[in-house]
Amino acid sequence: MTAPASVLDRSSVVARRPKGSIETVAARERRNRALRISLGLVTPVVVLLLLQAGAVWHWWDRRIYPAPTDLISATRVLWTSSHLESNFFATLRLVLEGFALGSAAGLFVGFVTGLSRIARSALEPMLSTLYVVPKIALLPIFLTIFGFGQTPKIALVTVTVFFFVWISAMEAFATVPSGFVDAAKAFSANRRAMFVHVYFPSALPQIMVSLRISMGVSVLIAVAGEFVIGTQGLGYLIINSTQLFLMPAAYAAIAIVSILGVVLVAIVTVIGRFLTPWAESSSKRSAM
Amino acid sequence: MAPSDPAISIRDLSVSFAARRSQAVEALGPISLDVGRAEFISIVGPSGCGKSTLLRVIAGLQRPSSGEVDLHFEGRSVTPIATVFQDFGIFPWKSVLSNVQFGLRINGVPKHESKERAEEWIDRVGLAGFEKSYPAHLSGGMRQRVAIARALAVEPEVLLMDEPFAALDAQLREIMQDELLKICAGRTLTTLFVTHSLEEAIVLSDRVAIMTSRPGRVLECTEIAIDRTADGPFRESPQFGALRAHLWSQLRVEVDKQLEASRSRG
Repeated sequence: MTAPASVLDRSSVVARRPKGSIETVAARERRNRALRISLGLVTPVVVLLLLQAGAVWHWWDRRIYPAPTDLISATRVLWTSSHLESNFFATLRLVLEGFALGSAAGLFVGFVTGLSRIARSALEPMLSTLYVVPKIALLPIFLTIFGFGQTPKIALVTVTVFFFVWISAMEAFATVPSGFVDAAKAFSANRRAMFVHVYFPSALPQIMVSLRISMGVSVLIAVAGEFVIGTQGLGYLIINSTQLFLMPAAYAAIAIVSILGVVLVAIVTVIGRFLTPWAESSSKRSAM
Repeated sequence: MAPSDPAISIRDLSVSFAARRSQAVEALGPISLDVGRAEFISIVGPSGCGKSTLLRVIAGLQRPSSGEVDLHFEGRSVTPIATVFQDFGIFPWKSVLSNVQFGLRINGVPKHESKERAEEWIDRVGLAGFEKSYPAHLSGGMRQRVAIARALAVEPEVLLMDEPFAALDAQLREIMQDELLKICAGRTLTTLFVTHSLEEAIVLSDRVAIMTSRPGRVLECTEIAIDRTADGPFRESPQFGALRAHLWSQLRVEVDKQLEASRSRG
């Protein structure tokens, strides 16, 4: 008599199988990617819908926390009462001028301190100390120097951007791999050629990252400056509307400032990709 | 055996580095060596014996501590010396074409001409079609060929190569060695070639210089008297084996010394 096979036979098979044919795996991968992309869109849409529902169905006071659709009509009102346009361009100009001045100065000083040990010894301790001074605290001083108007605000944005760009440019120029420097020297490159062909391109990816950050910070600092010196600009519009209890207008101005920031940063990002085609882009890597 | 009309003459060259307690560390030398015009000399020696330092001094990237190095140029090239580095040599921010053009462009060769010459060399090293690619998208062997094309595009009189094939796999190495031989043949190109591989040194060189352990001196300069124009696989010949055995017996002693020195230090 033999025992039933199910009792004695303890052998087992661990199967390793594909999850399907190559086609179905590829199809699943495509579906997953579509899902990930649509999730990125769905989340903000759900949040907007919740905000809308809460305002419409009186979960909270719509006058203080307006519905997203209220912002559209508020924007229209701001536009027709004609000061949105001038305020928008005042802020845009402030951001661009401060950013341009600050990044140009930061690049130059970063280049000098990155490549010259003497310049670095002379400037770095002082600038590093000044870096931690809260720049917004300088605004009253800039006011006494430059008077009212746009100039003190431009100075504020410039100073803020300068430090961001200076630090990364200095590091980028100081850490150019010596192998590249040697390679160029071996072809008897002069100083100009060294800069154009080696130092600048080698430092550029890191510099572009700092410019992206600085562009976002520029918008932030510009609006903060307009809060304090309330004469014009989107920051002024926000603070003024809040004081007049025009909450939809205030939120609309906040939304516009945010969009402005997103667009400006995106422009810097695109320019960076265009200027550094050899660098691996972050969006390719973070495709997970 | 020393050539009467040397392209490179090295006299009592030594290099030392300043170390702690102001005591200098001898890295190289004293070395005396004459390299004849169009001669191909390989330099082999234990790790850390100063082979790369020697090349760097000749390339002008580093100053000797004492002694002298004279380079005699005929003045017929864009830049008289070109160097191929083991890595880091080519710029990741430049396309293949711009990399190969580099030495020409920065030394004032007009754009059109430099492009033509670069394309010619890209073709010669077998990279045609990759002109617009960036180094990040090329394999290791292709990148090293870009470096070689860049060095040769300036039509140098002296070519310095610092373990140029070290990062390549064994099959690609042999192919690149043959290509380098082809390129050097029929050219008045004086070449100093640093390598760890005795086989590579024998295959490529007119003479093989064996260096001692640190501080490196030239222990022996062996003439590789073979007829490269003859057919047949030289690498498999008994002559090749004998040369290799002879060089290895010399080198072995120095490698052992270097190991001993690093052990007693550590």
